[in-house]
Amino acid sequence: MTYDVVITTDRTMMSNHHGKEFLGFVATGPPIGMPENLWMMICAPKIRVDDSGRPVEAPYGLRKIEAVLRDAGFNAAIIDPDHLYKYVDSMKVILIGHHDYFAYGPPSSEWWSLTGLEPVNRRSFIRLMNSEPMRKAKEKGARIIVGGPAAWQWLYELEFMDKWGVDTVVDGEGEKVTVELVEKALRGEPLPKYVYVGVDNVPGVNEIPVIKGASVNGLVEIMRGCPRGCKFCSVTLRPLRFMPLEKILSEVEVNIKSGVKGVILHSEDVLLYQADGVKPRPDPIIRLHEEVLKKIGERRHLAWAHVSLAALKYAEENYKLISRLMNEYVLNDYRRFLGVEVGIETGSPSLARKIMVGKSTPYPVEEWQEIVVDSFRIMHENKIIPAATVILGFPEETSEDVVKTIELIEKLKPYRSIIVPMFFVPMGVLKKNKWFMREHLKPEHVEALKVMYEHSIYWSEDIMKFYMSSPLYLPVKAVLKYFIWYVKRKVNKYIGVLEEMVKK
Amino acid sequence: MIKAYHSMFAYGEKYREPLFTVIVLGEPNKDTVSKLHYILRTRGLNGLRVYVVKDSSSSRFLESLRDFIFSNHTYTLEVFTAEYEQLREIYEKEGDRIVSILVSDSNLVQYVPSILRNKLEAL
Repeated sequence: MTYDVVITTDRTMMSNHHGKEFLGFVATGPPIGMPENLWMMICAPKIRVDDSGRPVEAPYGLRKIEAVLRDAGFNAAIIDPDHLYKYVDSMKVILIGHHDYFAYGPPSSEWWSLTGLEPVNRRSFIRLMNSEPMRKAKEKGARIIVGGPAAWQWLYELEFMDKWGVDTVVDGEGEKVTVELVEKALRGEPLPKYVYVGVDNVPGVNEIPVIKGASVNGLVEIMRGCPRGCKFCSVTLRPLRFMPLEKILSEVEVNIKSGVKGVILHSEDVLLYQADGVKPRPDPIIRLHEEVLKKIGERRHLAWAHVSLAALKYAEENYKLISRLMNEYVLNDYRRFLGVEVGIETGSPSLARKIMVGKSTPYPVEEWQEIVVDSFRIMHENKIIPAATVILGFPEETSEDVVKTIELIEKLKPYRSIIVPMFFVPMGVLKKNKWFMREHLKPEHVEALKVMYEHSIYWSEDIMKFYMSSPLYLPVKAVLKYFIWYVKRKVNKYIGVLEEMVKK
Repeated sequence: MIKAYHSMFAYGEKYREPLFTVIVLGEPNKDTVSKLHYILRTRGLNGLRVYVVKDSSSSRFLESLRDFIFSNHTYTLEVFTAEYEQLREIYEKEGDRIVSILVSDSNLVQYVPSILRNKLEAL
């Protein structure tokens, strides 16, 4: 079998991360305290493929592009990076997607800045592009189109763009434009160097296809876009669309048939599925969970990609929706917790007013600290384990803002969670601002890093009991335990170095 | 192979190409970029296609367009690069869509055919 259009990415993306999505984030760091191969083994093991080198699970974004191209009649397939050599002579167009091509996104840029070491995701992507199959395919005239949420990073790596012969960078939702570009590429027509997909070319719900192969860890999109308008986020620039339940269930079924062991409901704010503005409505949320859980049965896992803290608090306080969902639907002997990413971003209501005034709605932004604390309590009581982000170094941030953040993190100590500090990366409407780097750190930032590190270390072993309860995970668990031990040993020394640095 | 392309969009619309085109002759400079900002704001609603015509095929020119590109969150924007010998082809292909030709160096005016001189903006 040959393919005209090959869709691919590097190993840090083309992996199911041992079935644990959160382990994928380990690829955003540089290999510390162990060889890179071992680091890759933890975060990005090779994925099962068929005889043609097509992965059983592939990143969801690539699956959408594959589906749209096949529906349009193209001979296209996703191919694992280790199997590209099979198609060197036949592939005419290579499409590549990534979340963080060059490690400029959060949190990669932060680990890079703090340690001075190149993160693994960047190393892995550069290896892919320098690999013999990619080089040979280009020599034979293949055209390369890159896209995905990190497309913007190419505008900072123009030398690589020329070196690897990247023809086009696509920024934005790819369903419509990719069909157009691939058609042009196959006809040998000139391609634009850069395309931004404007609102006039964003696909409607009916134009977003059902995936044709399984997605990594069963991720299924339930809505696209976000109504909250946070200035640092690019998702909020996209129009809001809800996927019909039938479409969601079809994708769950595709995943189950391929043997995927669970579902991740993907949205920037799962509880806003079919919501009334920013107020969750119980009926669509319950129906969604009821139907999805019916499909996956009692043994497969369920996770949410993201949820907003304000929606979570509102849902529980007004409808007891969280406790109902967890106790009546989600939790059982096999599903002992539900994982989700949440955004705290700052503990300062005045900074929140400037950069994310919609994040607290329907509550006033002045109550941001109470919203965060209440929602963490609700999650703790209902066995929802959040991985929360805090962003340091926003353009208008003051020392008082950072102190407020420290105070908030301290209030969250009783609640089971991981809190990950991130350095500000210019994205969304703040895209033209400057990166926050190690040399911009103030003493308050170092204190904030320390408080978050202590919080996450405090809860990490407890969370691992939930997260990796199966004996199958013993080897990975052992390596992770070693890693936590190593970090504990090193971090105090490193914080001392940072403290000395900021005093100067 | 691509026979199903049009039937696919029976339930939607295919990609809408930009309705307006700007041609930049020479490496973009500060004035060109500022003019592009203005054109995008006033004409961007139906998408904008920009051709940067210059001596080399390097992608380096995108660096001077980066802030312009990043300031856009709304409109469809296509940026092409071409060499001077391709100009005639571009003029023919884009025709009435061309709304402006931006020239940063007066020596490059010679590349603008007389019929398009009214679109010329020397910067």
